[in-house]
Formats: sequence, structure tokens, C-alpha cells
Amino acid sequence: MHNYTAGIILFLCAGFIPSILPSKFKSPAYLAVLFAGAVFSLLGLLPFLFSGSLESMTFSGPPLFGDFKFALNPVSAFFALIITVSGAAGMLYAEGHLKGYSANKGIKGHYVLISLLISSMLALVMCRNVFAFMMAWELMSLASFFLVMFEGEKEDVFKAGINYFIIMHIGAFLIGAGFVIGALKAGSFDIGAISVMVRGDEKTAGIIFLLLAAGFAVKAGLMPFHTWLPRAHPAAPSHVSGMMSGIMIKMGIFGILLAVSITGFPELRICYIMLALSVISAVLGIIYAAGESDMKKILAYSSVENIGIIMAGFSLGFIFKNYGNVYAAVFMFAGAFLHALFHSFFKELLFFGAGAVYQNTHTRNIEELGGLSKKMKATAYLFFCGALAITAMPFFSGFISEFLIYAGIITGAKTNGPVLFTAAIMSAGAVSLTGGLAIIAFTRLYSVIFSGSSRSEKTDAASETNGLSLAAMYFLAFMCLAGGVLPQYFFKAVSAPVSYLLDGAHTADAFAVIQGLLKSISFVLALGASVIAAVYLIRKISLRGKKDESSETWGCGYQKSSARVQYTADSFSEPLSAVSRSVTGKYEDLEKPKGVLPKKAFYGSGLSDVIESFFAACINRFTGRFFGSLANVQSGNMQHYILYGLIFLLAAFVYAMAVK
Amino acid sequence: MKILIYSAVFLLMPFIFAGIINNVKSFWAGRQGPPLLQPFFDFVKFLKKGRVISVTSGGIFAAAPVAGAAAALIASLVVPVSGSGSLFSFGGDFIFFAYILALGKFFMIASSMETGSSFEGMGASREAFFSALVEPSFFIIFASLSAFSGHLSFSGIMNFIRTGEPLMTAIIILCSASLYVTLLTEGCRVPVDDPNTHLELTMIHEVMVLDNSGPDMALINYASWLKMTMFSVLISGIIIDPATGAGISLAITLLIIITAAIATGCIESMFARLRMTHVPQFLLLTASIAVAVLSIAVLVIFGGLK
Repeated sequence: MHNYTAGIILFLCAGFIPSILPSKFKSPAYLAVLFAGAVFSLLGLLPFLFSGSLESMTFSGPPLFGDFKFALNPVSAFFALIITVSGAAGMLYAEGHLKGYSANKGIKGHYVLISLLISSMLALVMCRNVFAFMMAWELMSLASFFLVMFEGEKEDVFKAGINYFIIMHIGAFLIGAGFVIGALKAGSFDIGAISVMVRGDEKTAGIIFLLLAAGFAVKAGLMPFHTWLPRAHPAAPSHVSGMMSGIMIKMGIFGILLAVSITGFPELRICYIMLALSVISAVLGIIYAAGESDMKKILAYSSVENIGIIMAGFSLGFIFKNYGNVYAAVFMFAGAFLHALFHSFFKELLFFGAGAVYQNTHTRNIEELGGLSKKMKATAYLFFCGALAITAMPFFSGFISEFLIYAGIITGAKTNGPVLFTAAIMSAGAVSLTGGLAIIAFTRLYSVIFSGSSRSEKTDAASETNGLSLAAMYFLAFMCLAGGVLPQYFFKAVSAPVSYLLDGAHTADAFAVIQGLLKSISFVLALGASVIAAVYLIRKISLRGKKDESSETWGCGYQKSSARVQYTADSFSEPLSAVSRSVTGKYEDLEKPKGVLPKKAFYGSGLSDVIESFFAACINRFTGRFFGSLANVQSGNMQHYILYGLIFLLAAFVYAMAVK
Repeated sequence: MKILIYSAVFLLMPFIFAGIINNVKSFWAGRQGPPLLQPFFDFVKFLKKGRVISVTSGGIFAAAPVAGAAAALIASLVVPVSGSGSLFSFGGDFIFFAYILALGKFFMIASSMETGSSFEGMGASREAFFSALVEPSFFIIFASLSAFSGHLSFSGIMNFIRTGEPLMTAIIILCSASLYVTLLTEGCRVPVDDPNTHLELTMIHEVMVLDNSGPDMALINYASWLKMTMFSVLISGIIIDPATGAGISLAITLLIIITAAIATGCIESMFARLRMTHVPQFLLLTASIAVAVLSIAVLVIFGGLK
């Protein structure tokens, strides 16, 4: 516990180093403190994660809010692990990436904000007092808001930042409301006390769970609350979007699990609604990811998809638990936890790769890129690894977590009745559909950025990114590969959280089975590696002594090939968009040529976020109708206005008389 | 013995499979067919040749043929051959099977995009989209059967499916039909794709590999034939009753592989490739089959239907 606290403080200190120390020692000192922070934090949290030990610290807080209790349990230690490992990788990358921004005057403050974001999240997971929790939560939201606003002088960044700020506070309002109801009921701000009081009262528990879950879902980016993600991520600098997408949205998941630990497992109806929202998030998220052409927007939508998969895992786990099938619930929870961990690795890797590309080309529009694998070889291969991991390809980590989710769905499907069976199997179908669509989205993203030849002059000056950024990406790629090849060791990190979530139910059998499955996957992958080696050798032997001829790409006889004939990102996803357009909606921007000698014409089209436009339309219609009815008051007739005055005076008179 | 059967089925049969298709097509066209092992001779010939590599391409283009062929071979490790069981079976091996095939596909798509050709991009885009349409059906079918039977592996599922009961027969027919459509898609055959077409605009798989040559082409061709063989072995696993003796089921398996090849050749001779816009509709046929299998499973488990 003390190690962990020391880790938080060290993480916080790291951010202040660039402001204090002269620039000569800045970088090594920053890295040293960062590394020390990560080590202390790991030392502190690992005992909670592996042995399930529980320990708490209490400080006396302000009299109104009771004592500030801090405690770690396996679930919070698990999220602390995500924050520590991916946070350290993110801060390492930031050190390299920010060299490109050294002219920006806010850079010192930016370092402070980064470390504030990480340490506030580390503190958040151990808060057991509502007041302290909300403070840490606000600190996290505000730090990330200012980080998004790093280039706030740009109009689109500013707009996205404000949008993020407002939506975060709608979420915080819901969370606060849920906690306050609980606190009033319990007469205490202690989360443990609230939990004890609330569990007896089913109705209040239901309301509190809904409020908390909705509020945390805003942070997690679950549809229909996802609209801030595709705006804020492109606006923020890449190390920030990487950390927000890899780590911060997981705090939403942590929050939902916290809500579960307060109110108990949600009732079935709510579970099914959560499942439906998660599946919609997963499928629609990846459809948008396959259709967008802003590379960070693509990654943001893919986060929506992955959050959908994680939450689908948890929701089905809750459902199985509700029906008493702990065995299947273990699979689901293990898969969901692992996916949260792995997602933080590969999503950061992809965002960092995108950041390296952006820094070299100053464009996020993938239609203007191409051919970068020759200029940024290491970045290209690392990005490819990230793409393989996020599409759940065997040998990489994403496969393991999705495998457990599938296995859990199948084991638990027969638990209750036909409704559950159909819902479970169709969810498996939906997850596999997202898998197939993810292949479209990520082969497209990788290929259009890195393959072929350049589509515009913006890539001319591109060169390999700096060593520190690459080091962070190598580390993350290593974690992606390790998680895929040796999953049994990563599973150990999630077994205690799963048991804790299931409240001491018998989980040993399921754990043994899962370990067995993961070991067989590991074995078959080793076998697979030797098959790959054999095939490679066959080709190598047959190519021995021959020299490859090189020539232009075959253009069906046409000799003057140009980069402009390449398939574009838009045409690559056209078959899918043609089908999905009926669901997703589409916007078209058309400026027709005018006159005899037209000067300018423009056509643009893209996907429009159907959920956002639906909600915006609903709110607009409601407010429009409400304020429209108020407009009748203003008739423009002087007699009416005098009448209003008289009515008001009369009412005031009656009120005064009545009160007396 | 097991390894022997395996190598015979998955190393030798793909060539024969392709040879049978060619012969059937020749028969329908009234030509004298090539030798049955001609695909094998072609394979060897390609291995002996050198390569022409596009200057635009890079590392993934070089890795993809190996990845594609290796992925298909790894997938075949978990496919049970009736009568001998699978070489390597574990819970959830059908999930692994689908994803390892997807890995090969991922590499092939990325590799054809790497050449910077508009035609290859077109093929890659279609390949990615069509396989995304087939995948959910495969999962819904096998997840239903797996949940139904309580077994997570291919061999568990196949041992569970017995012939004789009417509903089981329905499942067998539906599964075989769906797997056969998948075979045609994965093998890039008519009506999804036409391997003989000469117009790049209408190709899918052939156009993706325009720039591959020599040993790379040999591996790509072999992977495509191997995938078709694998899916016909899966069909035979579904059809053959688990109680059948080892020798007989092996014979039936071979018979079914040959039948699938003949059927593919016949379809290719008698039908034209579908219009590109109609291919998704054809592939979604598998989705309706999947839903049918799911509903049968629901009816049997919860409705007491026998």
C-alpha cells in the first residue's frame, strides 16, 4: 500500500521535472522518476492482484464528508496495473513525441497535466469515499480536458475540447446523483457503508445502479454516449489520445464494476439492455471505423467497438451469474478483463504509430498518405503488429480475450431458456462480425497509410520517428505478442479480480479449465510457428541461387502507372459502405459547378453518426417545441403585454394576501 | 498412422482436388482433361521459377505467401478427419480455425494493397468484405452446435451429430450446405469468383495476386486448394455418423472430398459468376442457414422437439 502511494507520488513528480530542472538533465531525470514510479506502483499493487490481500488506509477528511478511506482490492489493483503499465508507456512516448512540440509555450504545464492524469487515475481506483472519489474523478476529467486543449488555438480543437468538457460533466452529474442518493440513504459518504445500506433496498439499488452505470458509460464511450470520443481523440495530441483511449475510458469500466460492487449484480432486464447496447456499440463502432478517413477518428471508433466487446463480456457474465452459472461467468469476466488489459496495449500502440505519422506529415487524412513503410520502417511494422492484435489474430493478444469470450458464451448459452440461448449465440455472431469488419478497417488503415506509393506531397519529408517514441511502441508491441503467445501468464493477473467480482463463489474448476485451454493455444501456436518456419524454408530453398527481378507493379499493360491510380481508402470500404449506408446514414457536401466557365466545384461525402444525429435531432425537436410554444407568449400586441403585467400583479397580490 | 493419413489428406489431396475440378470442367467443355496431378506438376514448376517483385512492394508482400500457406496448414492441424480424429484437438479449436484462416487473409489483403495497384486494391476490398459476411454464419452455426452438444471442439461436435434422427438430418443438410458455400468463397470459385476470368475488373482473388510469381504463386495456389479440401473434410465430418468404423469413414471422407470437387467443377461449368452486387446476397444465404440451425437447436433443447 505504501509502495503504491509512493508510486502515485513519483508519477506526479515526474511531470514537474521538466519545469524545474535545466533542460540538460531534464530527460534522463524524467525517465528515471517515471521508471521508479512504475516500479513502486507495481510493487504496491501486485500483492493485491495475486494474493488477493486487502489493506486500507484511512485519513480524516473534512467533517462533512467523513473519513477518507483508501483501499485496494483485486479489481482496483487490476485497473491500477493497466494505468501503471500503459501509463508509463504513454509517458515514455510523450517524452519523445513532445520534442516535436518544443516550440509550444504550454509544454511544461502539459507535462504536469499528463502526470496529473495518470496519478489521479491511480488514486481514483483506491478511493473508498464518495467525496474523494468525485475529486479524483474531476481531476482526471479536467486534466484530460486541458490535455485535449493542448492546441486550443485551433478552432476544431477548441470545439472538440468544449464538447468533451460538457459531456464529461453530464456524466459526472449522473455519477454524483447516484452517489448522493446512496449517501443520503446511508447517512455516510463511505462507499462500503453505502453498499451495506443500499443492498437491502432493491428499488433504490436499481436507481443508483442505473445512474452510476449511465454516468460511467459516458466515460467508457459506450453507445449512445460515445459521441465525445470521435471528436476528442483527433483533437488531442497522440500521446494523450493514446492514454485516453487506452487507459482513461477503462475507468468507465472500472466505475461500472464499482457500481456492481455497491448495489450487487444488476437485475436481468438491465443486463439485457446493457448487452444490447454493447453489441450495438461493437458493430456500429467498427462500421464507422471502416468508413472514416481521419486516422485518429478511425481509432476512436474502434475504441467504441472494443468497449462494446468488453461490456458485452461483462453483461453476459452478469446474466450467467444471475442465473447461477458461475462457471460460464468466470469465462466471460476473464475474457472481458483480459480484453481491457490488452486493448490498452494495442490501442496505445496504434495511436502512438498514428502520432508518429502525424508528426511527420501533418495530416490525419489517410487519403493524403501512402508509401510510408519505406520511410518509417519500424513504425510501419509496429503499427502492423498493433493492427494484427486489435483484429484478434492468433499469435497476438486480442485473440486470447475474444477466445475466452466466445468460449464463455458457448458454455453459458444453455443456462436458462431460449431467450438467453438466442441472445448469447447471436452475440457470438455479432462479435465475429465485428472481427470480420475489423479486418476491413485495419487492413485499410494500415495499407492506405503505409503501403503503396505516396498520395500527396505531404509524405515527402517523412522520416523515422525518434528513439524514445519507438521504445514505447516496441514495449507495447512486445506486450501484444507476449499476451498472444503466453496467455497463461497473463491470465494469472485476472484470476483474483474475477474471483473478487464473483464474491468468493467457487471458481477453481473454471480457472483450471481456462488454464488448460490457454496452454493448448500456446502449444498449437508453437506448433504453428514451426509450420511457418517450414513453409518459409521451402520457399527459401526453392529461391536459392536465383535473383529476384524487380519491375513496376503490373498495370494490365499500361506502362505509365501513377500513384493516383491506387485504390483509395474510400473505395476500399465502398462495398461495406454501400450496404451499411442504409443503417449508418451518410452526409453529402455538394457545390455544383455554376455558369458557363465554372471556377469551383466540390463534392464530399462520408458517414454521419446515426446515433449522434438521432439524439441531436431529438433534443433539438424537444427544445424547439418547448421554446416554440413559449414564443406564442410574445404576440407583438401591446394589449397582451399589458394584460401579462396585470395578471402578474394580481397573482402577486393574491399570493401576498394568502401568505398573510 | 494418424500423421500418415493427415499428410495424405492435407498435403496430397489439395492437388487432386484441383485436378478433379479441371477434369470435370474439361469434360463439360468436351475437351481432353489434363492429368489428374497436373496442379502438382504446376506447383513444382512454379517452385523452380524465379520471382518478379514489384518495386512498390515491401516486407509484407514478401511475408504474405508464407503466412497464407502456413495459416492454412496450421488450420488443418485442428480439422478432424473422420476415422482418425484430429491431429490436435482442444476446446474452442473451431474458433482458432476461423481466426487463423483470417490471419492468412489479413496478410494477403495487406500484401495486395502494398503493390499500389488499383486492381489489386479492388480485389482486396472485395475479399475483405465477402469474408466478413461469411464469418458470422460460421460462428453462429458452430456456436449453436457447440452449445447444443456441450463440446467446444470440432471433434466433440462431430461426435454429437448422429444420423438417423430427422432433426439431426436437417442440421447435417444445413451445415453441409453452409460449409459448401464457405468452401466456394474461400476457394474463390464460381458463383462468388471466377478463377478463369480474363477481365481484372471482375476478379477477386486472382486480381489480388497479379504481382506474385514463382514460389510465392505456388504457395498461394496450394493454400487456396488446401482450404477447399479442408472445408470438404469438415463437411464429411458432419455427415459421417460417429459410430461408423474407421476404415469405412476414411473411405467416405475421400469420397466426399471427391464429390465436392466434382460438384465445384460442375457448378463452374454450368453457371456464370454472379454480378458483383449480387454476391453479398448469395453469401447471406449462409446467414439464413445459420439462423435455421440456431432455431433447430433452440427447439430441440427447450421445446422438447425430437
